[in-house]
Amino acid sequence: MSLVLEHVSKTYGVGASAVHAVRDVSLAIAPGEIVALLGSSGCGKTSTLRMIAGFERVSAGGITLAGRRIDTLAPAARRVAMAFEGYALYPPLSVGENIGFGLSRRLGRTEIAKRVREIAELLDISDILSRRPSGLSGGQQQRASLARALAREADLYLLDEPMGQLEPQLRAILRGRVKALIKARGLTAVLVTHDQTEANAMADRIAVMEAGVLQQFCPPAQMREQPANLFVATFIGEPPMNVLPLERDGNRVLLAGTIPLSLHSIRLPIARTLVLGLRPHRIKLGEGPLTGVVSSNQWLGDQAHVAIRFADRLVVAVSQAKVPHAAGEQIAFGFAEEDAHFFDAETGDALVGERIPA
Amino acid sequence: MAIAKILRALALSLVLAFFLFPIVWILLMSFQTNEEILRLPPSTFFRPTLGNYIALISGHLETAAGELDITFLHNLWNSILLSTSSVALALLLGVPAAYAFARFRFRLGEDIAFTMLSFRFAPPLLVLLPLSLYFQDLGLNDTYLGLIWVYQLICLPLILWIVRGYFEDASPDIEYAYRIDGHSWWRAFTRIAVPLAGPGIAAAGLLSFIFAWNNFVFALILASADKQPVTVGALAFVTASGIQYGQIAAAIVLSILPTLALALYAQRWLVEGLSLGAVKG
Repeated sequence: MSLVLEHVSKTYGVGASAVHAVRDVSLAIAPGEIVALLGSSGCGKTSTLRMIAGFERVSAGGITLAGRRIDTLAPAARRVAMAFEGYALYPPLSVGENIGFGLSRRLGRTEIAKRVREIAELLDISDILSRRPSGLSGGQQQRASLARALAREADLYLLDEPMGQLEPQLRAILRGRVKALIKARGLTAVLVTHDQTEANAMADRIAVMEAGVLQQFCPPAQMREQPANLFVATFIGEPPMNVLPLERDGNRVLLAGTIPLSLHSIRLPIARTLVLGLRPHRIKLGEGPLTGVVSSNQWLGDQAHVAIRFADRLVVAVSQAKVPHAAGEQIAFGFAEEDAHFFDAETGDALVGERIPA
Repeated sequence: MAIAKILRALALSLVLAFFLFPIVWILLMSFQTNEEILRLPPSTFFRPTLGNYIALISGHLETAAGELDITFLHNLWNSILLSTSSVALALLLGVPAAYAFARFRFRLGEDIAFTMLSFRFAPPLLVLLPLSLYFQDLGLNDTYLGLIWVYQLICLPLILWIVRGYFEDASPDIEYAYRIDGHSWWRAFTRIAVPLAGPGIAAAGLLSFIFAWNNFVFALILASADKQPVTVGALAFVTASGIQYGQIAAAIVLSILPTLALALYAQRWLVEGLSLGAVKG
């Protein structure tokens, strides 16, 4: 069901000691959409989730789910299901009973047992259905918690770091299965994670948060190609985007104070201090107008990570092929103009240069 | 290794003998007549008699100086009534309060909790004089209600602080999960939070029961003979014609039986509850 957050804020404490955990966040999530709230710890993503679930009151703003205003309702009345980061399984119940606990008694015993079996099979926990949570590993408890949330019928599914405790291989497999299940049943889900691979793999749209403020809300590909600001640009992508200061000298743009950057197809806004952003994957090595000294060169089996000392900074480049240069050798590099990102150095906002028609 | 084992056993025996000697001595005295107890030189051997117990239970005591009426069984009943009701009331008030202190941050919360604790270390004699004056004005003097009320000074802080630690140890997420599954706040409290803190609640209840049972001075000042517990009732054996050591010993044995039985039964919870709840900051 559709979820709308309108100017939602959360403040803990009052007066000078007040902590603004969430500031004026507005989001609209369409029915059947999977949205990931992505950010480092303390960015406000979990507070946002807890306000949607009803464990925290909103300090300001409103939350609407399936057309109902829910921010004043008790958690029980909101019709949401949640998988907790700390699992929160009921200790005296077996895993199977935990999963079936939230299901309506009206379904009947056989139907409940069938649904528990199905979801357990999907998450590879069929063998532990009769065990108590206390004897299980973190990964097993986490899958049981996820199963309990997904087994329920709700308007909205809140998944708080649902796979953080799983081994990488299993995580990759379950990401696909859980996404397929959510899509097949047409569920709406909000996923909280600090793992951008998980967000990219599962979400239709990603909402990046930092310091309680929503930075950007868009599909994963767009977030990579058109980051809204410097924070999103450096936060998304691994290794992170290289950031180099630009200076203006009349009509010329100087990179690192000295090297003129000739731009043929983009006209930048005038009279600003600028920052140039370059994705490591888009830097071309061995050719180009710039020259630096190789600081380290690592072959990771399928790609090379080359750190280049350039103008007192380290520029990291990723190459699909092996790079012959050893540490200490000079290397030429460059980039295509369409791969360059420009930001306002003061505000951090992305600047869209005006395209010059060829 | 063998020597260490023997030494340890020896040390344990010494400690046990040291701590258990008074209790064993009292147990032995309770089966002797006053004359045998006071005999000089004392003898290790005696003919056990149930006379002391019979006197306590029947309520009549024949002594050389004459007949004495004993209200010991009534005192025992008073002890049970006062301690049980006090603990029940303290649990009723203290467990929800402990939950509130553990889960919610509110204005003056820590100050209120600390004030409750400070009742524990205020000397009773300090409050007794004003209290007895107030009680006379309110008509609470010499009533069960008044005593149970005053006993909250003993029970409530104990329960509040031990149970609070237990609630703080339990993750609130389980309650949230239960609430989001369609249950009210109250049901999450009674069905999830209280059972999870169960061992702590049991330990706190037992401990405050023992403290209430052993209390002497509140009942001595605030109640008359027919409302007094065993601790005060034992004074009746100090008579004009001498101290009835045999009866006192028998009375002590009878009055420690309930707490002893409770403590033995719940020893596991006591240790666990106290070490997890109260000690952990």
